[in-house]
Amino acid sequence: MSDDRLADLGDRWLNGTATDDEIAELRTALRDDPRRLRRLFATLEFEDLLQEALHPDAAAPAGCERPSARLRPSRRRRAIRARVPSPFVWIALSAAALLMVVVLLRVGGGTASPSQTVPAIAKEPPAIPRGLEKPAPTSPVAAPTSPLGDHVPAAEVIAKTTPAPTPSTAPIVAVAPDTPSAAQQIPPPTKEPLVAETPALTPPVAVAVAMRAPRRHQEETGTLSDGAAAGLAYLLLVPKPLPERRELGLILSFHGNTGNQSHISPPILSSLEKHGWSGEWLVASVKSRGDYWGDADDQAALDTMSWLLRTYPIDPRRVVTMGVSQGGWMAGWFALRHPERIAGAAVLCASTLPVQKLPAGVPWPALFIAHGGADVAEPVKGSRATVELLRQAGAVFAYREPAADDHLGLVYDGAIGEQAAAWLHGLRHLAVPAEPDDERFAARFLRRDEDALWRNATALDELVRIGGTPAARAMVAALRSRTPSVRIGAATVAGRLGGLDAALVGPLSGLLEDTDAQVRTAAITALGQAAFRQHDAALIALGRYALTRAHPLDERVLAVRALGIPRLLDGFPGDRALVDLLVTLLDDAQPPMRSAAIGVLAGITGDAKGYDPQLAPKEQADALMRWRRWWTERWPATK
Amino acid sequence: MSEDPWSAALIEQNRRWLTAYFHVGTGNRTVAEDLVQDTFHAALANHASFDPSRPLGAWLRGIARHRLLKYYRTTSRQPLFVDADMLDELDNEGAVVEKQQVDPGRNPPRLRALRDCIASMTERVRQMLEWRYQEAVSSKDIAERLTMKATAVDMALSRARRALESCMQRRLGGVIDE
Repeated sequence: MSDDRLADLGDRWLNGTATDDEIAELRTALRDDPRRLRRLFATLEFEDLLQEALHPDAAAPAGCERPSARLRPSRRRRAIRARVPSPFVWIALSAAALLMVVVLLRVGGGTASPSQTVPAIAKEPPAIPRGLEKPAPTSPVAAPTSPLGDHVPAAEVIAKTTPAPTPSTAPIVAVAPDTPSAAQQIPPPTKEPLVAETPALTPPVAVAVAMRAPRRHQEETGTLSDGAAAGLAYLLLVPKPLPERRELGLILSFHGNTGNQSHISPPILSSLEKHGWSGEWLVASVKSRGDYWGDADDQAALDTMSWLLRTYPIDPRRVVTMGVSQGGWMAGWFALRHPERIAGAAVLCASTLPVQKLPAGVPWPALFIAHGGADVAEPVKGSRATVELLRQAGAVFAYREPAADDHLGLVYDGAIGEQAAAWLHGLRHLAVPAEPDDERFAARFLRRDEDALWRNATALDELVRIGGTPAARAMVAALRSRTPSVRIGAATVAGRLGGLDAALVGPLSGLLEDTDAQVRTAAITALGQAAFRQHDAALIALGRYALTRAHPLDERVLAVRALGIPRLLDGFPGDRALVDLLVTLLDDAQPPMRSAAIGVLAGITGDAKGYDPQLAPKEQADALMRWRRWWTERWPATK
Repeated sequence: MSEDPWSAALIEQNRRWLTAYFHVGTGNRTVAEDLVQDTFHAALANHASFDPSRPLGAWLRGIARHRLLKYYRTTSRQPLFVDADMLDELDNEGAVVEKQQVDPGRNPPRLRALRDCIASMTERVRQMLEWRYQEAVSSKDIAERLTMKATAVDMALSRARRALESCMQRRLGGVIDE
């Protein structure tokens, strides 16, 4: 075999395009002369070298591996993507003026919370004749003081701490000047030199990030002995081996009425495991003093939390609560009572929370609230009332109301658990400072001569771990970088940074108009992940993108699939618009779009209603009519 | 830095060659990266069974081989290495690459030579290389930018790589990989 032929076959094997015959030919060649194997290794080594040679002034920092030729998501992220079913589309039907204000606020990085009144999606005129005018996502948007009186600490913090954009760049985040801000409590960015003195991501750290040891949880049980918690039984699910740095998240879980410490921590851990995140969390639960939680348990929970923070390597920015039923009330109440320490809470099927507007400068704990529509034991009206109070107070929250779930059903509803986990996982307390090393490391991403960091998977993993305010500053700057690879890296990370959606979805939406296809693709994926976290603006941006026929077909399909992330029909205000979008797409001229749309709809209803995506819409008017009728009956205009 | 073979630095030193090992073994970079991760996870979980007096690389290759065979059982793609002899050769070559990569003096002269060679390429080829290796632009997108077919882009990049390898070899005055 000639060298050229061997090289050809080797290239095709290594880039995954070799046919079975070519693989067999290469195998024979290797059997004949095993030394030819060296050629394959040499090809790979040369590609690494070539990549390094083409980055002459971007040498990888110590311990950072040179990035691969392509930015590749991890298996975990691919698995999350793979769960994304299919397409969605939206319709603008009501209250256009008010809704558009909300849309503009969000697209402009304004201060709307994720789950306020859901705006219908403005559609492209060519696609939807009855559509609303599309707001320009990249135009400067003056964010008026929200009529809802929102606090969005991330947006404010970033706006106040991010270097001013270049004159030609529209401001990404506008801040209502009189809005109390968490930034007041957050230390200013470091003024120290950023690179040479920064020891972060030394080889051991880099590997610790990239090659985390698999952690299995060990149960630790006992009886607390200190303070107000003395005498209470506890159960800890502790990941082992423990990390050397303070990087674990802590979930304080609260059982329901007459429950005990062993009731809900396992399902919480299971939800985290489904995402592959369990190794990053310590789940702790304590038996209440009486049958149920009350005011007297507040100090006990505080003392328990303090003990855990002293005993385990927990990042104090990652303390959250979660509870079910009466424990859900406790989780929410405790978080609202101690917003200076608790980053967020997941409150499942609880009674109404005592929501009060927080003092100026105190960030809202980010609340994920869910309640089964068929709950008899604890009627859903309790959570609806909480939601209304939270809206009035301007809190940051998401609400899900799966219609079919009853009281216990919600606890074991895997989709709800996964969404709660996704919500909590990305949170970092915005008023609790990060470790100085982390601040410095994140600040390196702001330097133009550190662009290579955005192509370094290890460094990006570290940025995701740091998260919170330090990461947000870097992200907002990078999402408007002139370098495509920086924008790709930033968009890729943005999807993994929960808790910052309010600040990042606006810039990400702007990237949907990017000239680089890979940037757009990364932005679509990131927006899909934000949509999974219930961020309406992400849903809107993706829906609008899917509807616009001028966009590349494969990207439109990707947008629809990103929107198809498991949702619970009728469980979220945006579902009505989502399904409307899907029904509209059944009329699309492109079969792949129709196929994506019916895939999601059939997944929701279990029935395609006779619709065939391969047939032109005009050839199946009856099926289209059935879908429109179904939509109208499911969501009558008065609902 | 600690001499403990379980130190993170040593793991880092083994990552590149292991990635190459799996990439050659699977023909898929993404799968290779996942298998590397699995291998280190398995190694970390079973480090108690490692004899520190034995070479770490060989021990890792034992785990890697197991992972590779497991992957072959689950993939529909035809494997390249179908018997023990071939896998032994793969192990041997992995050991060679491992030794090469721990040599700190190996890459600097190669990089200098390669940069000189890149500078001698035509502007169009340089641009393609930068798009591919600096910005990770896909062949399809490069093809659109240059009004070419994606297969032609792949072919051009492949030829460019070979030309650069030859050029680098000439500048270094000898065989570079063997």
